[in-house]
Amino acid sequence: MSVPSWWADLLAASDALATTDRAQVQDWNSATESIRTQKLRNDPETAEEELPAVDDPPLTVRLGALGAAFATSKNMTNAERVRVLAVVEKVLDSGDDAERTAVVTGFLEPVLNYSDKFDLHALWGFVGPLTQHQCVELQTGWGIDVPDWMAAATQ
Amino acid sequence: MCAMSVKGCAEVAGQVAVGATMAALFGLWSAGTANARPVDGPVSQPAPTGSGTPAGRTDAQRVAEPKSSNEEVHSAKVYAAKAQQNAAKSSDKDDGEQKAKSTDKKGDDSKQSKGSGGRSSGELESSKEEKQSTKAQQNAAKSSDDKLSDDQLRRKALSTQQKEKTQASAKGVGMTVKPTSATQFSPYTPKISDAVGTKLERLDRSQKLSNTAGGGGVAVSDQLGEARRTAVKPDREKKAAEPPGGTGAGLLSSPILSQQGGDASTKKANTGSGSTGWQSPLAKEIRDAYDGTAPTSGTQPKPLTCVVAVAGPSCLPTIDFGGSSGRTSAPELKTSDGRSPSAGSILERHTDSPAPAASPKPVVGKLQPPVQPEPRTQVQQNSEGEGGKKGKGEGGKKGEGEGGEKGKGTTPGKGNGKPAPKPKENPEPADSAATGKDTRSARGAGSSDPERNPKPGDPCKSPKEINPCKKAAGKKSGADAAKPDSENVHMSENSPAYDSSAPGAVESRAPELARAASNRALFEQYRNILRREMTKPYVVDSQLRGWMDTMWRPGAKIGNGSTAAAARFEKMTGQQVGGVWHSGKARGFLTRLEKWIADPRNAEATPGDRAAVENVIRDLRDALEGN
Repeated sequence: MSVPSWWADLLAASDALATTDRAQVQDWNSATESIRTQKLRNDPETAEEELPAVDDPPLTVRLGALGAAFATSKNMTNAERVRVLAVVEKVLDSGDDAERTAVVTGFLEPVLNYSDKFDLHALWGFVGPLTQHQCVELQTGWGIDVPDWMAAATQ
Repeated sequence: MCAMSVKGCAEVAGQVAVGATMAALFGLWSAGTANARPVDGPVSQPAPTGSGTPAGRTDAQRVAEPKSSNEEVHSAKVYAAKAQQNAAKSSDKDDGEQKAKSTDKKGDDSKQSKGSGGRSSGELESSKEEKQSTKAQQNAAKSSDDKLSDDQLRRKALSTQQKEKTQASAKGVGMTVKPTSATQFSPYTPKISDAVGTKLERLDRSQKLSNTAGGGGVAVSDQLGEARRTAVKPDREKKAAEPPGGTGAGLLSSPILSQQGGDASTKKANTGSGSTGWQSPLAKEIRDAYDGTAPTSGTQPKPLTCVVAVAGPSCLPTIDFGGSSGRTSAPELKTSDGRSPSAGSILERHTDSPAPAASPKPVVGKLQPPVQPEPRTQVQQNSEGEGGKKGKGEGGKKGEGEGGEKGKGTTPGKGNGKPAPKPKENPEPADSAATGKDTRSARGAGSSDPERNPKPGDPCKSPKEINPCKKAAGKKSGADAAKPDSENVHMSENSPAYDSSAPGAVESRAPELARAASNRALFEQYRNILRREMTKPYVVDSQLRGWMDTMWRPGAKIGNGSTAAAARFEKMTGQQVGGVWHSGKARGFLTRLEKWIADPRNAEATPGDRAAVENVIRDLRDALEGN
């Protein structure tokens, strides 16, 4: 999956997320380079097809790192978080299924997973309705109790 | 107090009189022997404490004397008169002065020893008598000459001899009748106890006592000083003259007391030349209990040998009393009352136990692991029953005295030298143990282990490798229940029973682990199930931890809450989890984790992290494949 158009908007919303994404991509590329080097060292005649392609990391993985940084980063302000949530709401509203699935599974799920470290209740009022609905559905789908403040907002 | 002071004076006077008499006798005998240096006479020396003389008695004993003060005053007068006469006859001047001084001193001491109680009229009289006796002694001292100084020396020698005799008898009496010693050893029963541990304990105690009494009984006498003080009484002296273990000494039936009750000569006879406690009567008794033979000249015990305990091999200190090489009799432990020692159920001697006629290799002096040279089947156990003798220890370690090769026992048995019984085609089932025909009790040549030697009719008391109780608890059912126990024998890797093609071998069964390994697919399925149910793995790497946190949803009820579980659920049900499909996320993390595990930089990661990543990769793959 190629990089979506809204990716730049997402990284522009928060420097912390941008830093995290850069680190992810760098690590991914470094891993790719290490593997290629090792394979070529072991077998210099290895075909290019057999070598790992130089590409971008999976979008869900990148979104997952951003979601973890969104919940745990201390360098991230609430204003940045509100801006990020606005981009997420936009993707859920105007993105395709793959993009929406990637945002929900890649970003919203990690944010909810860090509920013990990050209290979304404080920002729940800045969360878009689609995002709120998706959060409640994730909680319900996994069989996790939905908090009252979350359930009340969706009713 | 008065009576006591008078008695003290009387004693002094009496001693002076006796000394004067003896001096006169010696003067006749050794007339002309002069120039002897005058020494302190026995009269002037206070009686040593605890020597058994009346002077050594305590004040309380003196007070307890039934004599009245008048009688004592009278006796004091008589003693004083005699002393005056004798002293006037035979005492020299200087010696008399010394006597007078010592007498004065004695009188002062006696006065002081009487304490500060009120003085009675009897005490005043006794003081008068004391003055009179002192005057008489002073007169006698004035009239004595220098010749008798030698006589006094001889007198002292005689008194010393008498004291020594008295002390020697007091020691014997003290050891015999000391009430504290009875209290001390009252828990001890004179019989040999049942347990070997008790024997050893007693042996140690006897050693300690013999060592303590080794110095001519002085140490023992010190311990029994109270009895020694009462030893001067004539009746006690008679008892002291009695041999240890004699009349009226119930405690002397104890070997320990017999040993310590003896004097130096008796002790020497017991312990032998230069021996320690090993040659004591107790040691001899224990030794005889072990092997029935008395050592000829064994002065030092042989090194401790190892035994095999019930719960496994251990190196317990067992006494080897020597003479084991040539012994052929079974060293059965028996108590003095003929009962089998309870230690036989605890320890099984495998050291120098004389092997039975069937035992080819007696194990001597080293720890032997419980080696099972051959698997033992029911048939074999039946065939080897004659090889060992019931009891304990005769057969050495288990496995000896086997009756057949294995299984059907077609080869002549080592144990009895006879051919094994005709092999049975169908070995007896496990229930045969209850019929009493099971000769497993003789297995291991009569091990006393109750687990090895189950009682007839008690299938639960079976050997370690055969546990019908467990099988009866549920594992044995249906067709397995009809299988004989010979097939249920646990077989080790080096067990020849693996060679099922061997002639006469019982059809071997693979161990359970081998059976499990034979179905790898089932095992993998089992591992997959476990992997699906695994919780979020703990990883050290922070990047990995972030990924795991992203993939695992705490508190989820879909599988284990992982992305793989969601993907699996979606594959199985065709329904989304949380309104979205999770296969894309699973695929993305699978790709990332595969790259991480392929990254050579992560080759140095902790094994736990790598294992966790590998398991998650497997789980994701399985989930994406619909497994």
